[in-house]
Parts: sequence; C-alpha cells; structure tokens
Amino acid sequence: MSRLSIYNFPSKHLAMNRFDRQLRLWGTHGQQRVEAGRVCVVGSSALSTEILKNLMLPGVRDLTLIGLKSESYIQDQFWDFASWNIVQMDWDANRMKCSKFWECYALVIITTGNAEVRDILRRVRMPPTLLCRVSKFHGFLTFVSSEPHFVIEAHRQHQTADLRLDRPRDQLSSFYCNLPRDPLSFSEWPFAAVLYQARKLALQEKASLKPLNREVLRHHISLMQDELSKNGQSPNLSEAYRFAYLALQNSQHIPENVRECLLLKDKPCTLPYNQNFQNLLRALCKYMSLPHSDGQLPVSGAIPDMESSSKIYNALRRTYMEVAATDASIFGSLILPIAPQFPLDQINLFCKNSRHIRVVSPVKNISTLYDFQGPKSNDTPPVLVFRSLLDMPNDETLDKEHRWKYYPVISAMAGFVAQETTKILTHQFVPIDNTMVYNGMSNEVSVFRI
Amino acid sequence: MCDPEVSILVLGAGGLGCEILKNLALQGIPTIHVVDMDTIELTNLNRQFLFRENDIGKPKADVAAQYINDRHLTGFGGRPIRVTPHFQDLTLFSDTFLEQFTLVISGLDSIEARRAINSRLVRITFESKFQKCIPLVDGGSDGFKGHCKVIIPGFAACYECSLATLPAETESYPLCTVANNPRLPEHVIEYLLSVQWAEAHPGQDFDYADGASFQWLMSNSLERAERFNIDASKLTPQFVLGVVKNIVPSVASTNAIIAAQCCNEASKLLYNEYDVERSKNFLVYNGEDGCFAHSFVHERLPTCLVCQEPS
Repeated sequence: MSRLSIYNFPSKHLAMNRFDRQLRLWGTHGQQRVEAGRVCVVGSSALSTEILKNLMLPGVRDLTLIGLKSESYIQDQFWDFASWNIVQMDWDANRMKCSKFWECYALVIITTGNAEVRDILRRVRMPPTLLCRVSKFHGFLTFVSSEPHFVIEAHRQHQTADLRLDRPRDQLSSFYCNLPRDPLSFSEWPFAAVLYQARKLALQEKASLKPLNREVLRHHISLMQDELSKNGQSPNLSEAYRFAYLALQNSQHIPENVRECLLLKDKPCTLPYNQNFQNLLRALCKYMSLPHSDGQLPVSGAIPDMESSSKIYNALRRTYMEVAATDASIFGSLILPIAPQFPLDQINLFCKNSRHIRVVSPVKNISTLYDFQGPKSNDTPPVLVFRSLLDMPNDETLDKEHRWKYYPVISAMAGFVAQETTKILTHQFVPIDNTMVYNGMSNEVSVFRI
Repeated sequence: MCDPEVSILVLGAGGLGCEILKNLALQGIPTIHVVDMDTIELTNLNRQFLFRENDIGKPKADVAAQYINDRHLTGFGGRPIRVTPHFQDLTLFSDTFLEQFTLVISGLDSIEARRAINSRLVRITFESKFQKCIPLVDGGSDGFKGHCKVIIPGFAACYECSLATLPAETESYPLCTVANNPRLPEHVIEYLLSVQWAEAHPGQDFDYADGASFQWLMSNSLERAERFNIDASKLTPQFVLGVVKNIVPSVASTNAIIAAQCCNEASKLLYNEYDVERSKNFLVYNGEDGCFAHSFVHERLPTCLVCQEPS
C-alpha cells in the first residue's frame, strides 16, 4: 500500500499523513514523483550529507551516494546516517564511464570538484544533473541537462483571472446575456458580469470608433451604480471598478512563456516527461488552428471569488468549468491520434495551466560548463565567484574553527540544491535558469545563464 | 576565534528550530537553550528531523535537546555542547533569564510571540543604558518562501519597525457573505465556526483535535455546501483542517535555507563580521520561480512604538 493512502482519520492524527504540509504545495501527484525519483549524489562531504537529509525528509526513497576514496570526510556523528536507507558505493571510473550506469537516475547531484570525476562525466551522456560547490562564504549551483525542462504547474502566485470577456465562448456570452436585467438585480451580479455589460454598452455607444479603455468602462459601471442607488457603493460594483482592466484583455494574445515552449515542440527529446509534454504542445498547435479555439488557449475554468449572490456566482463558476471541460475534451480528441491512451488527468492539467506553462534551458552538458571558464573582461562579481569555485582544484578541507564558522553556508547550499531537486522531480514550480551563486557574506543570490 | 562563553536562545523547535539547533551544534556553540510549547505530531516529520515516529506526543523542546545532547559533541574551547530545553510559553521568561544570552534566534510561526520577545529585548537595551544588547535573528518560512531579519535592539530596525511590511493577516470574510451568500467552501467553514458552533455548543470552544467535534464540522460543512450549491469536492478532511488551523505549507528545503541564513548571520555577529550600520539586515527569499533573494537595509521607523528611544 502506498504511504499516501494512509489517513488516520478520525484518530488523533486527524486526516493527516506525514507529508500533509508539503502535499499542500505540490499535491499527491507531485508527491508520487518525489517518491519515485531516483537521485544519485556524487561526493561525500558535509554538503552531500545535508543534501541527502533534505531529500530523505520529503520522501525521496531511492537515494545513492557515490563516495571517493580520496575523500577524508568522516560522517558527522550528528546524523543517524544508517537509518536513511542510502545506497552507498565507491567511485569506480570503469563502471561509471558508461552512460548505462547513470540512465536509471532521474537526477544526479555532483558535489565534488574531483578532476577524475569531472573528466569522465564530461564525456558521458548524463541524466539531468545539478552541479554544486561551496567554499567559505560562497557557493554555486548549476542545472545541467541535454534537454529542456518543461513545467505545467508553475504555481504563479499572482494570476490574472482568465475571463475572456473580449471574445467569450458562446456558452459564456449567453450566460452573461441571460442574467436578470432589472437595475435592482445588478447588486447580485458578479463583477465579471458587470464588466461584460459595461463593455457591451461602451462598444454600442462608441460604435468602435475609439479603443476601449478603463475610464470608459468605469463610466458605465458608475451609470449602473446610479441606476441601482445614487447613494452608497455596491461591493460587487466596486470590485468591477477595481478590476476594469480584466475587460480589456486580449484573449488571443499568446504569452511569451507559451511561445518559448512551442518553439521546442519538435526538438529531439528522450525523457518520457518531455516526450509527453511535446505531444501536448503538438496537440496545442492543432487546437489553436481549429475554428473552435478562435485563436485562444484553452479556458482554464477557474475564476476568482466575486461579491455576488451564491446562486449567480455558482452558476457562473459552473459555466466556466463547462467551457473548460469542452475545450479540454476537444483538446483530448487532438492528442489521442498523436499519443493513444494519453492520461486524461494530464490533459486536464495542461489545459487548465496552458497560459502558464514554462520552459527552462539548462546548461547543455558538463563540458559546456567547464568551457565557459575562459577569462572574460566584463564578468560581474557573481560570475567571478562562480569561475573561482569551478576552478577550485580540490574540495575544501577546513580546520575545525573554519568548519564551525562556515557551516551555515554549507547548510544553505544543501537547502538550495534540495529545493531545486524537488522542483525538477515534480515538474512543478520553476527551477533555476540555469546557474545561481550564493554569497553568504553579502546575503546575495544571483542567477545567470550559461 | 569565537568566545566559548557564548550562549544562544532558540525560540521554537519546529521546522526552522530543528535546523537552527543542528546548525548551532555543528557551529560549535557550547551553550544552547531552546523553548517550545508544542508537542510532536506526525505531520512534523517531513521536516523536523530531530524527531522520530515514536516521539509523537512528546514535547518538541525536550526531544530536540535530547537528540543533540546524546551526540556528545564538543564546541568552542573544548566545551561539551549542551542544549537545555524549556517546554513552556516563551513570554513567561523573566528579563534576568533573557539577559544571560549572547543572542536569540527565532524560528517561530507566530507574529505575536515575535513581537513579545522583540519588545523585551529592546527594553533590555534601553534599561541597561545601551550597555547590554542582545541581537535577535528572526526567521520565517511559508512554502517556498521565507525571510530572515537581524534585529540589533535599540541600534537598528526592530521587529516592530517592519510590521507594516507583513502581508495582511489571514484572510477573513465579511460576515454577510459567509452568512447569506457563501460561494466558497472556506465561507461555509467560517460560518460554522464563527456562528453555528457556538449556537449548537454553548460555552464550549471548538477543538479540532476532538474527533466528535471535527466530525460535526465535516458533516455540517457538507450539508451547508449542498444547501448553497457549492462544489463540495474540495471539502476533504485535510482541506477543512487546513482552513481551521490556517495551515501554511512547509518543506525541509526552505527551512534549511532560512535557518542557515539565520545561523550565518549569527556567525557574523559572533565573529565580529557584522556591521550594525551597513550590513543588510533584512532578507526575503522566494524559490517558486527560480531562486530569488533580496536583501536590504531596513531603516528604523522613527515613530516605532517599541524602539523609539525613551526621552
């Protein structure tokens, strides 16, 4: 039985499981990816121990640590390392120079600057890899992969409501047109309906001579307010006033992040997630060429809460969900010829998030990373830090005093590495694009692209 | 070289607290105290690594201290590293107790507790006529986001000076909406807790940990959702509990980043590498889209009710 299905409800742990607090971040489907992801850490050090701890805690079950004979690191007596179920092995150049050895891992994390490891791994085809180093107050982390990294659920914090008031699907316009129209019922309309109405009135009046703008819309909203009552402000109309810009969106606009993904729809990819995602992109292209789509991305179906009567709001919400379901089912009929038995929940997830899909372009391979190190005159300080850490011939061995002083920097870097790892494994949230440098002295984090 | 006499008080032994305590032990700090009034729950174990499943129900402070003390580590000046637990409300500490510490690091989830300790430490600076100053390093985390603030009480911006930068408190819904026009599952729960529970159970507080009470909330939520035609698919026990307890998501990696940032600031303070005037005392972190951190100097608020100098 999977750990996820255990609910101790209604016992004292109350509908909870160990991962409750992170399921609220990436859902059970994200958790399944975390638990299924095999991760290999190369190099044995305080940094790699902290990384393994940060991956074991959220539930990564299959962890491997490859240690180097040259390493003098002794596991801190702080940890119950033995209880973490880590597969441990020694670095073995003969075995590890074949890409076959690495292909079983979803992600490899290289924490050592060892020259032999570097020289061998730069010639091997590797799975997605994170490479990190740390020294005193500084650390860097680079995302290396021969393939792009796609994200369906970027979880954008501030999403603009997806209302399509400029070019509503038929079902939506008939919903908006059939609302009770007497002035008294205006107070029960959700702001989306108010905006639809204001837009319509504005267009009729202006006969499309001038482009619509917020002032014109707001003028019509005030007229509606006057019809309702001259004194006071109905809360739904104030919301409409505030969100007037939502009636000015161009629903046929394809955001830059979506176009970047579409450009990569036919790039040769071997990772199963990427092949699936590219099938979704191909279906999206077909979808956009159908008359049904009207050049608009699939409707997400989610709408924000709006001041209004429960009845009208619920009906509005249902209508948007129905429109989204129609879009998703048409989308589904396009992907099935490309990829039979494509999972329905992924189709729905993609359609729901189609405006927010993202792609990150990791450094192509480890060689590219090392080739980047030639001197350049216009390097910024973080780039200089990155170069000096990358060039550091040996892994740092500090005396006790300095180990104490700089321990938090190691701990912070291990946190960054683990955070990027969970984002890469779940394909949720957006990983670094593609290199970050941490400066623990100035408290700065810099991200740049190699 | 750091003074072996240093002693640090850690507030909270939760997600941030476990990381902070571990870091301090591995930073060689011999004298550490920890205060926390919570007991261990199953849902802590995805990040609070000083606890195991058979510790559930025990006080966090005790178990965390025990874990570290059992390692028999040696710190500055060859001194053994000892953690002293306090299973209690931190606002009940006396000033004399607080005055023994070199600095305080907080990994709390409560704004009120932070305000309380902040004003105590500012007062200590003022009452000692600036002879004694106990820095407060404050960490907070929420999902992939977090912050770290360094407060030098009486010398630089205090916690109270930055209150205005906090996001609006937990969302509350207008009563007329939750009573007459509920549209979201949250509205349903809010009404049941703020109005109906008291009507049905006069004089009794709602306790989510009580099975029967929670069952009452669940079944009434579903009923009320149905009555108002609200989509009930979201009303799972986890969702309802999340709303009731106002649960924020929490993962090991963010706690590691924020706690490390706090302990790194502590390092700078202890090794005299911190510049009270110029060091960037505030840092906000967000790992949702790439890796974003912004650090800056937060100036003192001249009108701050807590750290305005007594005239």
